[in-house]
Amino acid sequence: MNKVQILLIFLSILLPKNLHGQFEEPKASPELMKLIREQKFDVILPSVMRDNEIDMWIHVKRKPDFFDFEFGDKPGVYIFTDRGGNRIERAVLGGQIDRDLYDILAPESSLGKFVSERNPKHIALNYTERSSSFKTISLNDYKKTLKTLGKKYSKRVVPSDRLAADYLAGRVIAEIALFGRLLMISTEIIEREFNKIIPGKTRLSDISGNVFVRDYNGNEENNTDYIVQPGDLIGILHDANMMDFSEHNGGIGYVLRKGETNLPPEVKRIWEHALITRNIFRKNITAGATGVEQLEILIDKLEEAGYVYIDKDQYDKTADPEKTQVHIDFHAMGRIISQEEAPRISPTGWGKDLKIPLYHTFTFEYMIHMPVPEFGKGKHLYICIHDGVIVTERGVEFPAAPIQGIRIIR
Amino acid sequence: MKKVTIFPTIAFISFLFWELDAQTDYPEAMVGISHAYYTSFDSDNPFATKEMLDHIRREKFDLVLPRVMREHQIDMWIHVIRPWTWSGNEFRRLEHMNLNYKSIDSSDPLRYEFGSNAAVLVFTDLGGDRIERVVFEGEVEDPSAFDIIRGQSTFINQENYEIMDYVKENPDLVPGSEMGYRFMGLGEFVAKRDPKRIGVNYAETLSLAEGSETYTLALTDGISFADHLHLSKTLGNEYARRMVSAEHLILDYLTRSVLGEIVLFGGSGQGSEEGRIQQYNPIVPGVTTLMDVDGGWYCTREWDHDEEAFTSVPLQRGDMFQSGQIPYYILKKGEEKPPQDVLRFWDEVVKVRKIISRNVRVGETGRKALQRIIDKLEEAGMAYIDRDRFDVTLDPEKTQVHLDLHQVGKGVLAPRISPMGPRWHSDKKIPLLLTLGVEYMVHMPVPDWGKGKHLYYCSLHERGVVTERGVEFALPPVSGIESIR
Repeated sequence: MNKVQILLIFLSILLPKNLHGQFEEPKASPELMKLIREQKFDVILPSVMRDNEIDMWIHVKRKPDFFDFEFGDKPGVYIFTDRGGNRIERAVLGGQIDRDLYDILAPESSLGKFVSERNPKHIALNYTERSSSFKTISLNDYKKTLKTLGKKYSKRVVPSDRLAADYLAGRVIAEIALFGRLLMISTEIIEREFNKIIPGKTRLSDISGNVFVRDYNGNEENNTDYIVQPGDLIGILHDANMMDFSEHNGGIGYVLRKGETNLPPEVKRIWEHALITRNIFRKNITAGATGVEQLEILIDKLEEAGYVYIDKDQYDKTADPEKTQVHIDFHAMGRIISQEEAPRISPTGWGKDLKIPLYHTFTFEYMIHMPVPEFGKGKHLYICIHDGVIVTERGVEFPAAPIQGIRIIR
Repeated sequence: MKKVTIFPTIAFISFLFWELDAQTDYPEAMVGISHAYYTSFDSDNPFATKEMLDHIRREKFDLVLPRVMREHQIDMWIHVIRPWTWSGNEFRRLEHMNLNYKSIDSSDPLRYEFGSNAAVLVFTDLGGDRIERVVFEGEVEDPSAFDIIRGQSTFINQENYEIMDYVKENPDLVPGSEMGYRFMGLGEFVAKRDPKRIGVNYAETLSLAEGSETYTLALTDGISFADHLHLSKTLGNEYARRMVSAEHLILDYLTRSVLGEIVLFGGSGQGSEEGRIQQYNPIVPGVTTLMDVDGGWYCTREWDHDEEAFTSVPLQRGDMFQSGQIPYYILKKGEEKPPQDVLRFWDEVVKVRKIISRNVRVGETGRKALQRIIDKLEEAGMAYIDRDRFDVTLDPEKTQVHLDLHQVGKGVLAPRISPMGPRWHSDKKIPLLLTLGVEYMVHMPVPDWGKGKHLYYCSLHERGVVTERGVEFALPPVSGIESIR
């Protein structure tokens, strides 16, 4: 066989991998972005402004910032005013705008008059007094804006961080569909990464994503040069994105030991715990409660079911050695400025005091530490589940299939 | 080139073309689903996979099934799908296509929901937050979605030795007729669960067969008379009396979406108009016809416009036509954009879309939603027309709007916000997350062009989803009129 033939056959073998890759990360087409922006203005903005008792939201934007996704990427002073009715007036002073999305374009010099004409009672501005990613206005712009508003209106200014966090957390249907597609994409990527693993050869650092293994004492190897060994329970988390809309998803694999043909009993048992606790979470989360209120409910339900809740992702040696321990960090996904500053069912983060909105896109991220007394005192197995979920009027739904089991790596 | 070199070259090139083609056409999750469940399981949607179909099935079992059974006060649902709904002819047509037995198409409207083309399925409300799911007899695509799978009946084919063995071993239990094997054991199964109301898939008051989308997924009358007769016998008097039609339950089960279905309804992901816009060869005014450009219809119309007659009429500058969902305007010489009247027309289209999106409510009937939208259109200075024809007798200043919004992709067409269809279409209440084909037709008179002359646009199933907030869109609707130079 000559070189040409060899090359052609080689290419034929390679092709399926290249062309059969089913999912591609979606591009943010202008039409999709316009739809998301418009729908968020229509259905999310009025409710979050009213919930936060804000009747004017001023967002001063001089360069691209995190709100490009929601507002567009042009600089300007973005002003949203609640003038009653079922919509919020949308204006940009001193910028360029999409005429279909905004009602008013005016020079920035009209800011003072614009505000006084509308006489808002509570004005949210993109600053915060605490250290926060929501502080996107410069000090100079902050001072200048207050000066322009004058004494009367500057006294009415409050930080916009809560409003902004609620606005980011609100989801329209096009975003829900996007979230589901991204979950399917990351699931496929995780599958691909698991397929790369050759026990005894592959290092965690050879695998894309957040890759981790814990031993029976809870010591973790995370994206290190640790070589995957038989008996390891490996977790892989991987993301998928469209512009600044992102999620990440998880998978778990077990490396068979010599002579094993299936998952050993203790690994099957920890998976059973993953399913039992998933059901507990699914049945007990509703829109409207704060993250911290919701956490209390889940802790009670876990304890009723015989589990020990742990507020850190570390095995608690002082807890009942018969009981499986569970840690929870149900953080937001999709449009978040950070996991800390978004609604969060977790013991940590500013966002734990925010309300869980309807159609909240978040993760069932929970860690199970299951004692295995037959391995010795304090020895335990560890897995981390990370599935994308949405809370609807019916409870928690999975927009795409959650993890189906612990995959076997031979 | 030597033959040995030519062969791999041809093989490679063929393979390349096959592969490139495969990028836009994906294997169906179940045979026929892309046609029946259009807008969600489309063959060009890479996310419409078997795994997604399995996932949706389980989510519906978890989230929708308990609700609809309790709403209809049905504590047992028996759904019978017989293998002859797809017939031997269908089998022969498909047998060389490398498909397995289970995947062969069926005409049962719940074949994809349950993943079967031949089964007796029993769903029982035993209390708690879930419904027991049993494949009493038959095969399913996704066994792990069910609690009990009893397997295919030994007697589904009575041409084998098993029936002879059975008769020999159980002389006292042989049914009077071989039809008695059909539901063998079901009586005991039902009695053990002691249901108060048993829903069975037969139509009683709804014209499901002729009232559904017959060219994609016709709903059927349900079980045969023979099955009804023998099911009644098997259940015995006490339980047979408790049988009721599951027609409303079936409709509700089909039309209530879980989020997985909404994900698919959002399409392949890009939401880009780029992919939907036709790239035309130069249109030669006075020569190129609507048929040549694969156009749907003329949008620039006389009062008595006849669509058929216009397919072969050459397009002229200043004409507007529609292909798929996209409207096109052929610019006149010197024009940089469509004229004011055409742009005003698009504003009217957007206005109608907004009125619709704000006036559909979860829990209301289609009929009530229709009336509210009509009221709002009239408040906005438009005229409602109950047929998709320009009404020359109406105020020539007013834009006329026809409405036909309906459920899409399950063959049901209900709930429907429309003057069309059987009464049950618009009697049906709008459920949460209804996948709604937002279909409206706008006829805007342009008096300056002459009496009765008007512009026309039909939105053709914009992908709406009904939430507590109104109609939201899973995929961007058309954003404007495309200009052709």
